[in-house]
Amino acid sequence: MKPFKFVHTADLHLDSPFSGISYVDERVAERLREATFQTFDRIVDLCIERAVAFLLVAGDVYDSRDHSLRAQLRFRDGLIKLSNAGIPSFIVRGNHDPLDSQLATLKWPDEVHVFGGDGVSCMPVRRGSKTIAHVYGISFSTQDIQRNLANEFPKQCDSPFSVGLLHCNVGTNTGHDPYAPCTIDDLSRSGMDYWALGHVHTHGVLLSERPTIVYAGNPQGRHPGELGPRGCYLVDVNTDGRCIPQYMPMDSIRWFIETVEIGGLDEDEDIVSSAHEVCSSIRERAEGIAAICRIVFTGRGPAHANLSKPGFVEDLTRRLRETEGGQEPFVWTERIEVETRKAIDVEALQKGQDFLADFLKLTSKNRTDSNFHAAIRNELAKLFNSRLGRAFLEPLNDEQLLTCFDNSVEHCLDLLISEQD
Amino acid sequence: MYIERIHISGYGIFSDFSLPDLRIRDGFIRGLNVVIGANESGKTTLLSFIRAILFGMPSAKSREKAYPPLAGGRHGGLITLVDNHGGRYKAERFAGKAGGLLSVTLPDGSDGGMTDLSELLGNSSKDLFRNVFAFSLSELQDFESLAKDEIKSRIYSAGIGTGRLSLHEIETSLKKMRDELFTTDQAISKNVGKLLNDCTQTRQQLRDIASQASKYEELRAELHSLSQRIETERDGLNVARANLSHVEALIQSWETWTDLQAATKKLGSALEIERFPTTGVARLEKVIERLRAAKDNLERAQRELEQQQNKLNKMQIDQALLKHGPQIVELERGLNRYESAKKDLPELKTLLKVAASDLKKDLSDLGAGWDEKRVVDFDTSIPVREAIRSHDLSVATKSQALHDSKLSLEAASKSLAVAKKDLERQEARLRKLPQPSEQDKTSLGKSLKTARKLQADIQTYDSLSREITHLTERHADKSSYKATIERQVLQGAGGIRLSTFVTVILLLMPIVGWLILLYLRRESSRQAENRQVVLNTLGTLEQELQELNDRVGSAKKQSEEMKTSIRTLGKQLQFDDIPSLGDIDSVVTKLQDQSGELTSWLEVKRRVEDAAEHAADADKNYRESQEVVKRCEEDLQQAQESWTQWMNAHSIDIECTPKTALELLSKLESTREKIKTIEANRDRVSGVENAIKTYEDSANRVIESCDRKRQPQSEFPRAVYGLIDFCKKAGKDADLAKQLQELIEEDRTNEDLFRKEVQKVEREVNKLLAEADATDEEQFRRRAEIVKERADLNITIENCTKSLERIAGLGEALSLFLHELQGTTPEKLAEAKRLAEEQLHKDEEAFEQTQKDWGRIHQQVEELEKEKEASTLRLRLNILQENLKVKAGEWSTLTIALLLLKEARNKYERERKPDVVQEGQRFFSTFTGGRYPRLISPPGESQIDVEDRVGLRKSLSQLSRGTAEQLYLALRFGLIQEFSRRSEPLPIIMDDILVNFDPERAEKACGAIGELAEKNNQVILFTCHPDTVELLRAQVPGCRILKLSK
Repeated sequence: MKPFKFVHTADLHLDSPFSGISYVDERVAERLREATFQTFDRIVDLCIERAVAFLLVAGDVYDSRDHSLRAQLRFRDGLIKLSNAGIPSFIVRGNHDPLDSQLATLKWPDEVHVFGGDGVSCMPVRRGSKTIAHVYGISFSTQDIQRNLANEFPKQCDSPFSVGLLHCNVGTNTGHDPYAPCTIDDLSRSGMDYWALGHVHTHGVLLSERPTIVYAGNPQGRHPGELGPRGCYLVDVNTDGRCIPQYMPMDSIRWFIETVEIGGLDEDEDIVSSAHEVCSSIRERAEGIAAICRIVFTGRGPAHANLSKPGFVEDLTRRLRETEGGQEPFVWTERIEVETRKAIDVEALQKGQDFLADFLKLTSKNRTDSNFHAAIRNELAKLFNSRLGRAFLEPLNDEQLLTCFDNSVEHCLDLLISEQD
Repeated sequence: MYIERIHISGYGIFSDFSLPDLRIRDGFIRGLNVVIGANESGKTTLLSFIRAILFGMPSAKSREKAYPPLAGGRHGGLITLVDNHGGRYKAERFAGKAGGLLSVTLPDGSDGGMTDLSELLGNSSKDLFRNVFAFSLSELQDFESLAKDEIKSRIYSAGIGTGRLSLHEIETSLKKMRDELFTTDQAISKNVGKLLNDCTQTRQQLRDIASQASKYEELRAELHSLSQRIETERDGLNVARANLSHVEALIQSWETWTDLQAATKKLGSALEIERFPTTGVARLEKVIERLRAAKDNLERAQRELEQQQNKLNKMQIDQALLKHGPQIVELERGLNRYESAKKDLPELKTLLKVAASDLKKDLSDLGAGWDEKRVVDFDTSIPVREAIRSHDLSVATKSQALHDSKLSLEAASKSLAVAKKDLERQEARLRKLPQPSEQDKTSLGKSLKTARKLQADIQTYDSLSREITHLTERHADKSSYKATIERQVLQGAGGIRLSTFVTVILLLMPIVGWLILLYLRRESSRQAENRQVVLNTLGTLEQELQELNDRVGSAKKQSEEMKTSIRTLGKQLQFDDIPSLGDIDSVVTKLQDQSGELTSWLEVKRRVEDAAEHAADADKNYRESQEVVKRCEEDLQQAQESWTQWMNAHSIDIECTPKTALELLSKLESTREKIKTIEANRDRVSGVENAIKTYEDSANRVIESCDRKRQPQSEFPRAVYGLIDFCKKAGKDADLAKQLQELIEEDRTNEDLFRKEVQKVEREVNKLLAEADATDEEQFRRRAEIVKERADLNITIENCTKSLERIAGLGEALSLFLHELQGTTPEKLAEAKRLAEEQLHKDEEAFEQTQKDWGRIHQQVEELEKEKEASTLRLRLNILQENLKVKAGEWSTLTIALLLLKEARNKYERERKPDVVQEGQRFFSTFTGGRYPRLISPPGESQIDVEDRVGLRKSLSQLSRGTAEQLYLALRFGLIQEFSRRSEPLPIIMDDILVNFDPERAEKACGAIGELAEKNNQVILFTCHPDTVELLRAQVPGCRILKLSK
């Protein structure tokens, strides 16, 4: 067979908003709004530049609950561009954009094929008069698909090169909802040469060959949980049908969480400098792409007192936004988190006979005391279980609760132990 | 911290009052101060004042008693406070809003504020201060006063924090922070509440947009439907438009169609003409026109011929004149010259006459004997003129010389007179002066010189005499001094008496002065040294005496020489001995006067001699001038005689000077010129007169040749002009006749030509008529009209047909169209048009509406497709939710912190006896003399029980009033101890708190008060009981007792 290339992407989530951001100015907000579109445009340009044989989109093009018509139209425009360049596109729908979602009925270009949800169907890919590959695929007919769709793919294919296009959850601990669950074995048993998967946002090659199983991941990180470079796979298929997937960063805004250890930082200036250094480092690593960063100060040391001063963190954040955030490409400090601790010997204090010792002993016990946890949850329910609280706040999970607990203890210690001590 | 002094401007009964009295310079002491005063002396007022200044005036709503300034003054005052480092603060407060107007002066003199005062007061609250540090008996008796939250917390939780903040403060702060984020009471107004609200609103906005987006499909379907409808309606519209156009075409064609019908009918009934020449009428018109023109030309030629003939016949020409034409032309040429001569002749005659008269006058001016001939003949040549000029020059030179010599003579005469007069004047002046002797003239100068030398010598001699005297005196003094010193030297040391020494000082030169002083100072101790000095002095004196001797000798020698000289000179001036200076001065003066007189006489004598010499010179000059005048007169006479001889030789018979003779010559020359001019003019007059006559004769000869009468001179030149005019007219007539003859010939030729042309055109007319089978022009024209009418009808038919074809089309379409026109009427067509218009209008309205609907929906679809607001709102919602999450986290942290602290406090209170209670127990045990050794604070309960020696437990209600008061006091003291450990000790102010204490317990209490005072707490205790004072004085010997009088 003749070698060819194709691009595999998924989880574009066009026009879905960024989250986990506490503040952006209007300029950055505009960039965030355009980020997913810009990323998709880059993928389209990549297809054209590399003259690929086809584009695979493995579900979740948009979040149907957003009802973003703009997302659908921009997606269509991109596909039209590809179609005009003679590059066909193959699309399956995922849990975020199932077939039954209220999406507009747009007229797709001739070279675009959206797979149905009733069963796996096959589309040939032709180059001239020759068929170079077959793409098999099935869309989510509805959001909650719990059946193993991988098993519905043919076990044997009479094709020079077979591609399985599927939105699914491979394995159990993906950190994503277990829609269309399947295993690598299920996928391996099929007659596919390449599995183009979507759903899991972290990209990765699950199996390198026979078949090659790949999660493209989402090409644009949209929250602090989606750090680092994001993109799609440019897959080279050589003469004997072997696939060489190459990951291509396509993101237009990149997320960073940076930790600063406060040991050795004494003065305000030290803290400010360290924050600027973090931003400079990010700018270097971001490869010319705008960045959103979260800076976390950790550890114990004298800088804890500086960071705890009222307004200090706010001022520093504002300063970083004005300086680092004002450049192009920007490094926007989304927030500064202070997880530093006062430099105290807790164990020694616990041995005392005073209130502080009693307090420390009690908190140590209560940290794991389910009764106390229940008492806390009961108290927190005033907010979290209020009418609006239920609507907009997720109840704290155990881990979050413990974090709050630890923060509370630190806060109390700050107040109970004065600086003079 | 302690209170140093209070000053009340106005508060209750106090006005401008200081405590302690200003006489007590250092104010309250840091330890115990007891203020004793009778009832109503203002003790409670003072307590209230201290509270009011430090923590604010009681408000109107407060249960506290207000103390308005009853005795005047501004409501408020000042308290001076001293901190642990000796820093002095001044807190001044006057009644006003929110507790009054506070001003704080810091130790460095700068202004402070509430914060500084709070820090000084250990950040204690008003309640704490009022109930624990500054209390009266009534507060002591009220247990509730200790039940206030803060105080209770302090009693039961005191000492649980290690920082500066009490647990109560920490809890209050946390609670405040938590509630600022969110409270169940005011959810909406708080931080989190607002975020929740914003989230709700944003989500609703998103839903609204989503509902719009869901209409997208619907809108697109509608848009599609409208597009189809637009197409259908467009077709219908086209049909309606076509229908209307067809009806309008029929209407438009109606007139054309009727024209076609009429033309066709008329053509059918018109006469047929077999042949008619093409453009016959035009050709006929052209030929007839040509015939008319030819005839006109013929007539005109004939008419002109006749006219020329008549003109020629009427003409008469003078042939005689024509014959003598050249002579007449010649006359005309000479006419100007003739007229000019005739005009100039009188003028020339007048000029001749005037010139003759002028000559006559000139001859008369020359004098008798002069006529034209003599004038013309007289020699006026240049040699003659030169000779006359020579004589003239000679006479003139001689005359001038005579004139000059006469002037010189006159001047010499005047000089002679002046010189004689001056001589007389000087001689008279000399005569007036005394004439000196000859001896005087020679000796006077010498005597004066000798006298002046003598005068100078006497002055020198006197000067030498004075110097000799002076030097002699000095020599004597020095000799005397030398003798004295020599004696002193000879007598030894101390031999010089002071009196002698003083005398010497007075006498001697200043150089000795310092020796005297030296001696006076060192007399006793330095005698040996003095001796040496004296010997040195003797040496010096010896030298000086020798110098003086030499100078005297020299002076005396000079004096002797001078004396000899004076005597010699004196003898010359008749002095026997050396004259005095006065004598010689008078001699000098006298000699000077005599010398002056001699000088004056000699000067006048010199002037007389000069004047005599000058007079002799003037006389000589006068005589010489007389000689010169005589010579000049002789020369002049000689020259005049020579001139007279020359005139006689040239027969000038008149008496005249050479100058006059020269003028005569000029006159003769001008007269001679005039004579020449007169002769020339006479010749010109004669010439002109001859020319006139010659011309007139010639003219009369020509006139006569032309058969005309000879003209007299008076008729000239008019007769010549008339002849010329007649001659010219005859010439012109002859030319005209010739031209007429030529024209007549030409006209005859033309007449012939035009006649032939008429005949030719008449033949053409006849031929054309024949072509149209017409016998005459009228018939020809009738036939032409018929031909034209037929042609017009054919054209009309053709045009109408073409027009209808353009509207309806060709072939079948046209046939149908015509058929349609055949079957209708204009009325029917008008009605059909109205109906068609109505239909079209209706269709157009419908189409327009559909297009608008399409545009509206299309716009909505486009807006939905371009819609970006949802993206913005989604991002906003996420940001709000993130902030909400953060704030909820902070709220959760604070809530958990409060729970943890509450739990820890409960545990602490439950398991450990609070420090305050411990301290209180100690005080209470002391107060009660050990009767109640224990205080019990039940866990979790804010109450105190007491336990007696035998373990019997009593609640507060079981205690006597006095014992209860002692318990409360003990607890307060415990609190004070606890507070003082954590911050600056505050002053304790108590107002008669021991009244219900028995003497023994009162004594114990006083001991406890003393203990507090010793531990840095200032105590100010107001009491009206002298016993209390004594008790305190006994317990605390160093206390300060102050008396408060009414």
